[in-house]
Amino acid sequence: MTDIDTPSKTAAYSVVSGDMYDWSDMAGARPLPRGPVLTRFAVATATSASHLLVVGPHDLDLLDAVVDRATTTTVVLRTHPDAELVSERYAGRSVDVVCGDLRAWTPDRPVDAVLALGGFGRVATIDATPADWHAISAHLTGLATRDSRLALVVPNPGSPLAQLRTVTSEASDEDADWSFPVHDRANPRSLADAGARFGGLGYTLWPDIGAPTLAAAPEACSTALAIAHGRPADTPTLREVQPALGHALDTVGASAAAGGWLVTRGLQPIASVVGVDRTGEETSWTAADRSWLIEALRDSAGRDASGLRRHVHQLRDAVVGAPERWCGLQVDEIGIDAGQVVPVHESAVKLGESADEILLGLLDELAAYLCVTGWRHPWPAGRGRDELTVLLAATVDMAVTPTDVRHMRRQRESALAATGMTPVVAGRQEPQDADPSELRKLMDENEALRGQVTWFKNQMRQRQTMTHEVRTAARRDVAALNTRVKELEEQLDALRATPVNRVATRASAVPARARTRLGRVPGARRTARLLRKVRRAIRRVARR
Amino acid sequence: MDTSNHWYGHAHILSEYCGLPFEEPRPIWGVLQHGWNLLHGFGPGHEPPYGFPKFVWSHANLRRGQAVGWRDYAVIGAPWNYLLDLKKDVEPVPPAAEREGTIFYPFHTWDHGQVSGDHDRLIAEIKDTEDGPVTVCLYWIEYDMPEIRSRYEDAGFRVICHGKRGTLRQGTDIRFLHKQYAEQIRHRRVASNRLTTAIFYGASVGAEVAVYGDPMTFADVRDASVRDGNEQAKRLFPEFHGVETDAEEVRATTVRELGLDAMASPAELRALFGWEITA
Repeated sequence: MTDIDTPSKTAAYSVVSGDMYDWSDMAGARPLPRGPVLTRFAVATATSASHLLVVGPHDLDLLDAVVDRATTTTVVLRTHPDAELVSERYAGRSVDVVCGDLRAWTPDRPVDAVLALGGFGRVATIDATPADWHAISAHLTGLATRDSRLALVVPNPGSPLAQLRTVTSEASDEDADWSFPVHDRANPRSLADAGARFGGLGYTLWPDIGAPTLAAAPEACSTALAIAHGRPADTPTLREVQPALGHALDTVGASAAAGGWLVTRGLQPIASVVGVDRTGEETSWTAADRSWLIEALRDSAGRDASGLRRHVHQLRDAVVGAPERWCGLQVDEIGIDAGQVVPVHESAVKLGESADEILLGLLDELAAYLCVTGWRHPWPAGRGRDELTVLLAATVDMAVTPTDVRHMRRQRESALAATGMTPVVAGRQEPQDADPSELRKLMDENEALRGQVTWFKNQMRQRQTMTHEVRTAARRDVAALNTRVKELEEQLDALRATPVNRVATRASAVPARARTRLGRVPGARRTARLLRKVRRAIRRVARR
Repeated sequence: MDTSNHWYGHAHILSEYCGLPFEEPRPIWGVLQHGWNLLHGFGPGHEPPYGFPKFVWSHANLRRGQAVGWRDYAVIGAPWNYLLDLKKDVEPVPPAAEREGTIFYPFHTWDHGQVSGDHDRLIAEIKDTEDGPVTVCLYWIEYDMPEIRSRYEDAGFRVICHGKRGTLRQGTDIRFLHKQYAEQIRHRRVASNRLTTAIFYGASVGAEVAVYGDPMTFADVRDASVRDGNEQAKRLFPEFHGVETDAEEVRATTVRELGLDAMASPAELRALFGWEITA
């Protein structure tokens, strides 16, 4: 490959201004648009087009699905490695590859279908001043005819998941985690803004734009739908962030919280919801008025016990009526159509056997959902997930204990794990690979602290013993001194007394001594009385 | 267990509904609302401890409680609803043609209060309004006051009392509601001079209901909510006030206020009251 800075054509692909060397968007860390949801829209866009324009890098599998559906295809890539890769792959087919900045390319024939599923972040050269989304979209509008079909993805940097990933990547050492997710600085504010630019409508994409597992028309989209089906392969999933961001999602709306948007124009009718369920099966439906059981139950839980009971009754009736339809579903995969609970999709997975077991599993998941999404005491407090499940089951006269619930949950989680599915409310992940050196350091610190605590305890014990001994000795000394003081006082009294007083004092002690010695001798009591009279007489004489 | 749970035999009825003995209900972990009111399910000054479950009749009670920051509510409907369920086969409500007369509930006082009002004027209004036999049901306090009871008897009314609600589980007539049910289903009309629990009970068994006459008032009002209750009730529930009322409107409101649409299953009640083994 030679260095070319003017428009020219190599043997394999054309080159226009803004081409980049030593760089690959397709071999980089950032994901390429791919997956069954995007492929379905890509095919719908490309089919029967006379000239399909593919803007920017796309996953090769996705390109494989579309290139032969149009009469001719032009793929515009900004880097030489990517252009080389794509041109080699489609050599000999009606595919033209152009290397350079999209804004430097002018089609030699009308473009009646445009595919830009990677957004505009990788279509302008980084050697020039960055172009924002609006500048590139204005150029693209000029390339395509007014009635051309279009499928264009717009990222939403404001989506909760994008925000969470931004925070997460700060702690990472990987280069890929530090790459800024979008190149442009002026994204459209909403799907409506993006749609207005191209005169198109669109879908919300969940959970992100790289490989969305769900595309839903705004009127058919809800937070519950997004959480149930918008599952990325990696973590954190929307299910995990939902407890923290549930209210934010409700506030800004499901559309504004989407991972991104897909603007479409001129496509054949496509279902309002296109997705991949958690078992990997494609799913789609057109009902725009479908609501979600968990949302209805969550709304009822706060202030409408009757509504809550009614929904649980409906669920019970449905499960008992046809257990096989419900045995593979989780509670956030259940919709409400015309007042009836309906499964969102069919599933071949079996998470429970009997109707009771399936129902209890769904109620347990519902209880978990209610707890993490701000359960506002539908029932008295002091009860967690287990007992909330018991109460929910009791509303349909199903008597179970928390032990039954826990047992069923273990079975269900085991079945979920066996099929690669995740619980409705994912538990926190334990750190998988703890740093052994860090662990050793913490253990050493812990051992040192433990030694300090032992020393301190010994010191305290010694001081306590010493204090006790000192206190005991002091008490002994005080008692001895008190005894001595008493003896001295008695001696002093004796010296001060008159002879008669001394006789009276001695006489006063006679009855007590007599009682002690002669208490049981016949006549002793009479003698004692006589002695008391004598003592009183002596005292009278003494007083005179 | 809160002793008010036994009043009027509420706990006993719920025990029977749950398939447990009527005579000796187990302690309920929580407080049952014991009468219809315009508050949070409990009377002014009655504030169940934090964390103590509150079993109320209607979602309106729950909303009022939550509005003042109370938690731990469970809406289960009135115990009366469960009595209706128990009676539906053994003592069903007779057809309207077999019912006659009016049962009138004068506004009553309570253990620690006194009602001020003109009973003679009320008697005159009842006589002017009702055209069939009239039964006057007095609360047990007024029933034991000869000066009040004799006025109604002297007016030619049949005077009855459903029983005592009791205090601290002493003297409770546990078949209070059974007697009330038996009386209400034999009368064509249920009336009172205030919107009270008995009016809702009457509407729930298909009686015509009416609220008219001197509303009387508490002589020693301790709380503003008590004083304003009557006027507020008139504003909130005009369909009950007057000599003639619209049966459909009354029925719809009664379903909401008594929580006839919020009844729990026996299993749910057992779980809520702590009557189940929860290990």
